[in-house]
Amino acid sequence: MSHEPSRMVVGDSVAPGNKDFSAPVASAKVPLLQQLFSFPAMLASCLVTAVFVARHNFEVDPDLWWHLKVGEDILSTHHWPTVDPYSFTVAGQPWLAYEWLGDVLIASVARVAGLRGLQALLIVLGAAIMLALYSYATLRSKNSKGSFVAVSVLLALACANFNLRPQMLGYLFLLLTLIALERFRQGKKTALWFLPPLFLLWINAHGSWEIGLAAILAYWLCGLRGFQLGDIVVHAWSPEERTRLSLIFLLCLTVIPITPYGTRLAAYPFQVASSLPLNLANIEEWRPIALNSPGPQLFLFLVLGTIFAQVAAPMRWRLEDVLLFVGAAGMTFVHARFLLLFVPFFSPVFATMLSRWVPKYQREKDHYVLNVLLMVLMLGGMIHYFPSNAQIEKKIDAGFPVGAVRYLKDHPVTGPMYNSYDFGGYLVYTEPDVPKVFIDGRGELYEHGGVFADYVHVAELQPGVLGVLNNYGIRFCMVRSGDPLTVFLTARPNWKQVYSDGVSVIVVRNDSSARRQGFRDQ
Amino acid sequence: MLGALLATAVFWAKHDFNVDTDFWWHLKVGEDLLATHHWPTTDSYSYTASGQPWIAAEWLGEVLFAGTERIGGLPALYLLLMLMGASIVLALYVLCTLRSGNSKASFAATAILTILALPVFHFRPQMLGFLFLVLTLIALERFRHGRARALWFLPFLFLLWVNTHGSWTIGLFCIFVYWASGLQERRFGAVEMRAWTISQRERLLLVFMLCLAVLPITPYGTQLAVFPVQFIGSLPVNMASINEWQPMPFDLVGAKLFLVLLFLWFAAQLVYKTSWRLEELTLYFLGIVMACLHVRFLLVFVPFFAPVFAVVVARWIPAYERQKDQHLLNTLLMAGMLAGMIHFFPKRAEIEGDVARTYPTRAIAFMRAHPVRSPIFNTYGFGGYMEWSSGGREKVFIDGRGELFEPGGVFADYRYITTLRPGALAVLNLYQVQTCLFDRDKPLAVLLASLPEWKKVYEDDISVVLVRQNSAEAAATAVSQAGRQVP
Repeated sequence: MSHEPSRMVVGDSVAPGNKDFSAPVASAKVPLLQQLFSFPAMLASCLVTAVFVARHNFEVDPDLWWHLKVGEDILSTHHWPTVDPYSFTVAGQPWLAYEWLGDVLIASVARVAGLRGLQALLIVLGAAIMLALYSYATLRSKNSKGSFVAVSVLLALACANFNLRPQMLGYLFLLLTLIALERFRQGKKTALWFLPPLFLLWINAHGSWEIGLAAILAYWLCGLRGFQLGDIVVHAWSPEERTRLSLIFLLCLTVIPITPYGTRLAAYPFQVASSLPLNLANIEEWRPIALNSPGPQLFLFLVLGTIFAQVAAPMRWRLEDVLLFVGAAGMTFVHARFLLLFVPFFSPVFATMLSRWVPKYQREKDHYVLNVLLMVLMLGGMIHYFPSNAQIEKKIDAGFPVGAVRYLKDHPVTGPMYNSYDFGGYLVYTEPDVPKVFIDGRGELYEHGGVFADYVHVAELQPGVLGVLNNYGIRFCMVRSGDPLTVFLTARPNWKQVYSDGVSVIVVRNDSSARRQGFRDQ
Repeated sequence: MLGALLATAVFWAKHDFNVDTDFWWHLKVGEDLLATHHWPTTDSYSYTASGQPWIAAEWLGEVLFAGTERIGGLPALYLLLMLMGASIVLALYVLCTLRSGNSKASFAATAILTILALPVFHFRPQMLGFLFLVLTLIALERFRHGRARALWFLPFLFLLWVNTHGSWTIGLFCIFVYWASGLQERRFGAVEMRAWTISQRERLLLVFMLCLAVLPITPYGTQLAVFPVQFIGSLPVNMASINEWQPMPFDLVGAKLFLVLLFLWFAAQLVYKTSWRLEELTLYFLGIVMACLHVRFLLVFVPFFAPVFAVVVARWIPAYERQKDQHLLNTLLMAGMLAGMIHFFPKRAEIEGDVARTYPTRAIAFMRAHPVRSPIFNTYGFGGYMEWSSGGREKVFIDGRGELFEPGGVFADYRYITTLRPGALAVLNLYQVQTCLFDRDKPLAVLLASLPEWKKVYEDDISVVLVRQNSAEAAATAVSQAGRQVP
């Protein structure tokens, strides 16, 4: 059985039999109210609800806290930092708040609505990303139901990265860029004009703007000449389209230096990319994807499933889709954090693939009242289950050293502190209740200063660990509960565990007892 | 000549005797089998799992190692390693040529895949399993090509296989996949199912049944057949802790090559739309999944991918033309390669030097010269070598037989102690450990070396020996340290 005659090009709007009533052109003629309560809109609500269910527990990244602190400081001082103000190890070293716009957004929301505001921001950003993904997949596949299935599967991958950091903004901006490019590909001449303003926000919010620029470049390059090579199809741009795309690319480049730091923000991602071997080797999100857990296994299944599907039920691919799919999948295998890239680059391919088996939406069969009821039910559920301040605080208590900070406030310990890497952000946020940190999530700052290497030395209990602690004059350590350093230190009488809960442990040095008992410091 | 080149490449790549940590206990088990003519049913090498049920599931490979060592010592073992590696690569080359019909392309494909396979060419019975798997695939491929008698040696192969390594399960699965993929004549996309004739199907089924029938013919009866499936899903600590059971580490060069090959094949498929048989595609994808989930299964990926890859490469490389062959030149080159291998074959001292660079030979010599108190707590990777080098007299805490040490909780305790979990020293005390032999610079070694009740008595660039001191010794050490520290 050959599929040749009915083969669909990924994202080809003119593929035979592909007419979809949810397509943007057709939907423009439909009354707004009908669109708002249509079946595709109800499906979109399902996606938002799924984000809510997955992320209503205030699951945040440890880096959130220092981003929040930076944003608060910028809001209160109206000053963009140029040196590190939060640690004692690299205090005064050059450092830029390179994601300052995201930091300010997070801090503003926290200032206005507190922790519940942050929880709402997390849901809103996550929902916006999923809706953009759904919109993009539908734009490409012309099948809103197929796209819903594809995006629902991808939600499991995407949600893991919804962690309330400025990178969520970067992720959203990338999707908006891809949507604009696709609309342009489908003949909407004005679709690209909002990209320069978007890049102006992007450069100030997150370093992923370079991926957006690479996507524009990929689209431009993959339309220079039209040809077909096996199942790879290249549609040539018209001269006018090419010029317009080039112009937009240049305009996006032009806005890049418009930041409080001038061109330094533009240079930042490139500086960081190649100069942080310790970060790459030790930070979880920079490690290769660990295929022994369900999320990464789903990723593997999708990649291999797509390759197998191409053999068993071939479809034609646009060259840019091949490049972006292979590039993003390869990068994800090597660095787990690029799962963020894989999802948007893969979604149009996946949606188009599924569209062959999922029947299209038919407006005439839609049940608007039922849709409205379901949407109201979902909204009601979200309002009802929105966590209280107490619930959010309990969640923070369970993940961050809240108890240890409280202890330090009541029982101040003087002198430099060594802390776990993932506690650093929270400790920066709680300043001045605790002393300045040894390290936090700003890995690039600490690696260049040599502190990250020392941190790894201590965390891995390499020979001479006490010597390293001595060099920094460490008086106490706040580490995650169960950290081997606790066993190492408390086995010696000159260190005493003074606080412990299920999250953190505080161990304090007492040198006089060590001298008496003659312990060996290496 | 190209085959000889591949064999030479294996020689160059593996010219140092850098063997897997498990090799030594396999060797010890083989030696004991040869000496006692008795197949063990309980553990006799450790003090932590002593007397627990344990069978020498790979006894035939172990006897081969021990027999070789008895004949020619370490140089003979090195020669065996070379022969096994070369046999595998040559068998892969044959498989690729058989499938692609292009020996030059097959050479290129095999050479590239050898880079992937070499790091997992551990000198263990699994290398024999790998060879048997490739031989099974060759037999199946020849049968696919119409050689009716190609399969008859498989039951004999499986008789060896079940006594050598648990990978016979994969071989049996391959036969099943070939059989199932020929039940109907169908085509979907670029995948084709080629139906077997009735006689072919019956023959394949008969061989499958015969292979099954020989499985209980082992010194342990059906226990060896059950062994590989018995532990699936029941060894979480092993899965989480042992490197070869970890997912593919994609930051390493070999793993990146794996990715490049995967996506190159995909790109070639987009462009050329090559047709594939269902059985080869099934095995190929299974190989990818297995290798991605557990890096040790790169060994399975390579033979499953090799014929598929050779077919792709054959599009770019012209076929061999016998009439243009330069036989004299080939002979010269082959003689040159053989001479090179003989010339550079390592001396016994060089091999012993290789062993000393990886294993605690000097530390064990020290412990022999200065007897230490037992029980000894040892690094996982040193256990096998300690058993072999002490002739089994020194009982170990743990060695590479993970399936033995996990059910009794010893492996979990080992992890608990070495990762310095809270109460790690108390767990160490529970085993009344008197001496520790560790990798140098491991956290536990660093900790114990800094405590007065432990004394570092030996250290080199590989290992460290620490002994527990009694309270009087500890006090004396403390006083001496205090005197040194307080001015």
